[in-house]
Amino acid sequence: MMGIDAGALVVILLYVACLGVILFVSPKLVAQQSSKPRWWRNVRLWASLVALAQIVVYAVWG
Amino acid sequence: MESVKLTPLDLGLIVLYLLTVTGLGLWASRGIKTSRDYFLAGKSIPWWAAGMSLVVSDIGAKDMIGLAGDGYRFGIVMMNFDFVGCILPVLVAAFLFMPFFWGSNVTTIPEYLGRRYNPSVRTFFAVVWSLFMLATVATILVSAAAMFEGLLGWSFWFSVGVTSILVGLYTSSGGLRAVVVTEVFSCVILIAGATLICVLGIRKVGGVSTLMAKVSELSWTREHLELLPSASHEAYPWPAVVLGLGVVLGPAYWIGNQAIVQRTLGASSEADARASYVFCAGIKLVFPVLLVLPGLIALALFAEELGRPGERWDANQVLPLMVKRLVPPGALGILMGAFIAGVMANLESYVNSASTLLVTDLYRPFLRPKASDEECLALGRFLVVGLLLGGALFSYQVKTRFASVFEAFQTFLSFFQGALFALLLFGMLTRRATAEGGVAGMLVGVATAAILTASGQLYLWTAFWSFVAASFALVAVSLLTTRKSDEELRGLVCWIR
Repeated sequence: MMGIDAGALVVILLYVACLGVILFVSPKLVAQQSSKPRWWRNVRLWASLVALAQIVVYAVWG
Repeated sequence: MESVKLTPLDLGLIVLYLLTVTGLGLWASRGIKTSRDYFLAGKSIPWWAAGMSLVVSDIGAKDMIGLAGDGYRFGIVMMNFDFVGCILPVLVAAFLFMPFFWGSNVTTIPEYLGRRYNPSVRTFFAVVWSLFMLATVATILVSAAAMFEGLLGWSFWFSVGVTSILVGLYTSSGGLRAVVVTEVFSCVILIAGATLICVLGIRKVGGVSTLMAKVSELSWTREHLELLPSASHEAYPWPAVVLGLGVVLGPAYWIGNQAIVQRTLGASSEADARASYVFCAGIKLVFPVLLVLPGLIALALFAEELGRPGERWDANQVLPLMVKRLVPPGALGILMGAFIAGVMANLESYVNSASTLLVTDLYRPFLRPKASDEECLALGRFLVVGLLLGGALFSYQVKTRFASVFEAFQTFLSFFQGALFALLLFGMLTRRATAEGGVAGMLVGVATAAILTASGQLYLWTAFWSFVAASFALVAVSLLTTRKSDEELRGLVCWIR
């Protein structure tokens, strides 16, 4: 990786904002379950992993 | 191009696939008694089925054919249609928009817009979406015909006729439940088929590193391995990809497209609606690679035969040629099954959603407000057949006017997606957007898109600037007019639930 291009940087920033929505904004809007789900049933965790995978893709190949 | 000869094993696999899909579709049709059962599957779809259904509603024959052709023409930049244009908006939509749509109990997106703004906005978008879906049906039929013509030597009209009849057989009776059940099966077949052609192709080329070396050695493929090409790229400069696709076209498609959102509206709970979107995003991490890679493999193996893309170059010939040259007898049956799966899944999604729109947003409100549920159900089924027929008649226009089916699809979308996204975004996030503002945004956005398209602007820029124009008009007029009360906006704006 020879540094990140401007385009890739913009996409990475968009995904960081997306992580912000998943982890911080949505808990205030979406009704919370009464009991805490097991980690493998935690949709927020899976969504964060997908977003992180995309950040890696653009950091390496963008 | 000479046609291939199917072995009895290939034919057997294709017939087995068709029988399974039709059987599943008819099995899922049992117990449909109301229009809610037909259009929203009685709100009973689990997250994993809705998620897989979302994937194949978006990716089908037009993408297999179109992305292979455009992968050959432009390279891995085409993966952004999923990476930036799908995964990003889908993740945001899963947590901001979908739970909210699901809870508002609407059947269609125009219905939501009508409640948020006014009935004219609802009607406008219902008409526009219906026309778009008709054009999409035509686009899918063209891609099916390209494959059947290239591989089996069928004529254009024969291919279009056979495809329409097959899909019409069970989609008209089964509604959304039949669509989702068959799409889950199709999703598995589609992934298997796409993987098969990639594996066979890479083996033939001699590995991934040889593939990359061969792709880079031509004079016109300098940027083919750039995920985000330079700002001076002829078709996909990175600012247009990020702004047009990532900020406007992608979100509008995944938040405002009835054919997509309908699966989530039919989910069995709000949590399932959310999980289905996240599951779809997970699958989409892999799918674009499987769809674009064949284009690069074709470039490495058949560049001399396919030539350099120019004015009259046909992007739809890439995948049929690859299948013909690379796939051994027996495996061809699996691949044809995957392709037919893509055609059928895509077609059934769009005709089912278009019939939902026509009944819910145009027939009931305007023609027969007192129509019984049985009448709406019967009309929904009849419209599925009518839409397939209309799409078949329109397909020749699409074939003769566009170099690539994927380009045709995106061009149709860019006309109204900017305006639609502005209305959805401001409508959901702020209580200040007014009915008059919505109408102004809609008109200015579509007019801007029409002017930019007529002046030959790239469709990604058309989508972005029409969104900007629609947003300005919406905000300006909203500031000058009176907004609805909080009570009227309850359940329609994110912050007032």
